Amino acid sequence: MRESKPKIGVYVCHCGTNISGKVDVEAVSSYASTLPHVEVARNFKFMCSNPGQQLVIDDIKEKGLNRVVVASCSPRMHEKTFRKACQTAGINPYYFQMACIREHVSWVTEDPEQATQKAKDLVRGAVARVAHHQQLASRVVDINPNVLVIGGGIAGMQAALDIADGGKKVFLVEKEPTIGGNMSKFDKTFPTLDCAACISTPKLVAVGQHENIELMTYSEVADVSGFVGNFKVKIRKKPRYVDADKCTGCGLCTEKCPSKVLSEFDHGLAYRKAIYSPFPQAVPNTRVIDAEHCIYFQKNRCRACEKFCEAEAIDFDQKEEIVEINVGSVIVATGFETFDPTPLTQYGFGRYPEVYTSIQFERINNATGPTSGEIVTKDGKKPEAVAIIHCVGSRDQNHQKYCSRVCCMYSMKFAHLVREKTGAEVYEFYIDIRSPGKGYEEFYNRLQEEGTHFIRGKVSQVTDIVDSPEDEGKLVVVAEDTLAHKVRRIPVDMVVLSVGLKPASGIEDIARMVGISVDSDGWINELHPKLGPLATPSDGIFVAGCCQGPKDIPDSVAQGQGAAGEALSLISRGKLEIEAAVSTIDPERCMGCRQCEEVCFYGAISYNPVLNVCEVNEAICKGCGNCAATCPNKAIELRHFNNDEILAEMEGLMFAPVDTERNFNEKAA
Amino acid sequence: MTNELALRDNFFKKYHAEEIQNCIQCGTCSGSCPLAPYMDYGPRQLFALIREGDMTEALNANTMWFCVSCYNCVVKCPRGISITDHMYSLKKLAAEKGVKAPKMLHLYRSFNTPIEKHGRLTDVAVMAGYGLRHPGAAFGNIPLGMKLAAKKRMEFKARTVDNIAGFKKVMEKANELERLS
Repeated sequence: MRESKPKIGVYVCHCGTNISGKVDVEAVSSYASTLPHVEVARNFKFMCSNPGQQLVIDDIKEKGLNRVVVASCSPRMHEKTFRKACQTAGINPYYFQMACIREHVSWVTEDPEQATQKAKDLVRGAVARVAHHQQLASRVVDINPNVLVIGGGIAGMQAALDIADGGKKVFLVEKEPTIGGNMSKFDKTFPTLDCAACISTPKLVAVGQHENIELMTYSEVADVSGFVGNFKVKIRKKPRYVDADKCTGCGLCTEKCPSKVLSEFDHGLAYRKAIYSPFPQAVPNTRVIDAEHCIYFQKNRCRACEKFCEAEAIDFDQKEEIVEINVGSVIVATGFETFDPTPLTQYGFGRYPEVYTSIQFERINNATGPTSGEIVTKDGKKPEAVAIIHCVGSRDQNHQKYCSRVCCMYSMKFAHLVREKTGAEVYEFYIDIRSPGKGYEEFYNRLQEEGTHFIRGKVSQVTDIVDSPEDEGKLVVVAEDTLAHKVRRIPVDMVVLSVGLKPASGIEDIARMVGISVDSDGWINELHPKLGPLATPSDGIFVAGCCQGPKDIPDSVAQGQGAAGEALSLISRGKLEIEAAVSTIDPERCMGCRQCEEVCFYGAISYNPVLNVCEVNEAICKGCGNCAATCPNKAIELRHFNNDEILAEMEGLMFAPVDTERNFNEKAA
Repeated sequence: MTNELALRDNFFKKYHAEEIQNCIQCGTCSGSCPLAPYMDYGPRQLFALIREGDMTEALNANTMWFCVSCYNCVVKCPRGISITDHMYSLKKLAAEKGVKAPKMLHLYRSFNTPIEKHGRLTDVAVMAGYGLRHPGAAFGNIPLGMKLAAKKRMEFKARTVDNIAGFKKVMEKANELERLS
């Protein structure tokens, strides 16, 4: 579909002195004018400025140019700018090619002569290529304004609330029977020591009552298909065996249920019933029956809950349901779980009853926890000394290499609470105290003033072996005090392991479904670590909170709000232009080997078994070219990067002679 | 570059000990070491000395000689440093550099010499070797030796392995590799 003979305009940018300081731009532009099909070649101070763009527009109109090459910065910077200029002047925006002579030349080449030569070569390549460019048209699709938020922790709730307040519909999916996430297990929050429940419960209620939020608790995402603006999502609603419309949350069923199970919410420190609600402020307050431990489901008798329920809400016949929804964007906020310290046998977790993980200790401190907020040992005694061991499972090559970021701060919060509630001596065993946050270092100083013992050394073991009389009946914590150069053995009554954070289980499945990747530690890869922290390489998929990496509550909330902003910004566009530089498969040549499907990172290729060919979904395709390079039949063409264009560019780059004229005529013929 | 730093770099290169630089000084090694109370420096401190180039001080320390290769530290080290291996290297280097040799070096030598000669250890040979180097210390051990002898836990006759020629070949090759490295 090539039209008349190419007439190329070449524009060399000075970029102030960024380029002209190294490259002889005059020489480059006069050289460019000698190249085949080049109608006009100029150089200008700032091509991206309005007068610079006008230069291109005027030349197209006056000299009838039909191809444009700008030699300036990288395409990432200004390709769009010049494509737009071409469009304004009335030629197809894909008749434009950029030669990068700033990032690739003037900024990195030392010798001015070599730089000028390299700039000439790149311009020659671009001129040779642009002659082969084809007209391409981008497509426009509608964006579905609904948003799916996966995960009902603080980040997900915040994102859902912000979007819902903006007037858009949100589906909030949570796999647990209640929203609230990990934050609802905490008692106090650092460094201000405000009560976690007091600040999170209003959010739970707001989410539960918001008219724009459809809450889907005890549900999991089963499948995601489609593309930005038009995702189809299947959600698996697990049976609660309690009718949510009828249940009043009175709790009589829980009271009457005879089956006792270790509570997941209390991390094994307390029991719950088989019909339960994780905690008193749970949203929704609808009970749920744990079929695995329900006597009726296991032994076909009991049904006590059904007998006592005045609302007749119990429904043993409920089945798993698959609900299908359509959304335009997805926010992944699946959060974290804590590291299981059992493999670190030297700390004796699971072996000594008085060794707790930090999340268990949060429950001990919490008023709704197993001890109603009192810090006591399992024998009910007040501890005289408590050891808090930092970096359990974190900063450790045998477990997780990364720093979990929040442990230093929550450990110090614990120290404060122990001092306040019991007056016990607290020993913090740390490697480094990391307190980078507003008011965090001050909190550390406050703890020092309160008389907390800070011992710099990683604990080598916790033991009950008695070495001296004062060890009797205690746990002895052994560590080198690295600042005093002394190995210390400190007898304590309770040991708290400040375990690190790891991605919540099931994150890989969700990442795979929405077409994003996780890093070697399992955290979701964001688009750019600095400039795209909430976006992902998949358009329309955003991340918020701890699923992207460990972070504290303020950061999670900020990310929730940020992701909501990203989603709202996408929705408010209403329509979406889809890049034209995508792959196409020639069905005549495709033999259905499906190798392209395997290499496609974005899930843009699907196999059509009826025709035995693969097909590209242009809305998902990013134009990376993996498939085109893989296809053994050369059935795939990547538009704007087809073989003619790439070979022409390479010939142009490598061979100075002006053969392109002949080549072009031969091919045209 | 001072001699000390050159010695350190040489040590890092020859014994693949660069990973000492990864140490975060957490003290897990010294905390888990059963002999740490007898050492002038715990492994952590020794590594701190080495990486800043205090080689003379490090090589004169008794730390590596007290290492009993229990690998407690290696198992727990959060940076995955093969501490025990470096202790072996440091022993070799200290012996090579002829630094102020502690008694431990002589004990090690008393073990090695009979092995090189007979291919196996003999109690008497070790005792004799150590006795020659430290008569006083050996003298104190005579009652223990007698007790062992009474219980037939002591071998007096120096025996040689069957294929001593083959063993010597192995040793030769090992020494050659050592020289090459």
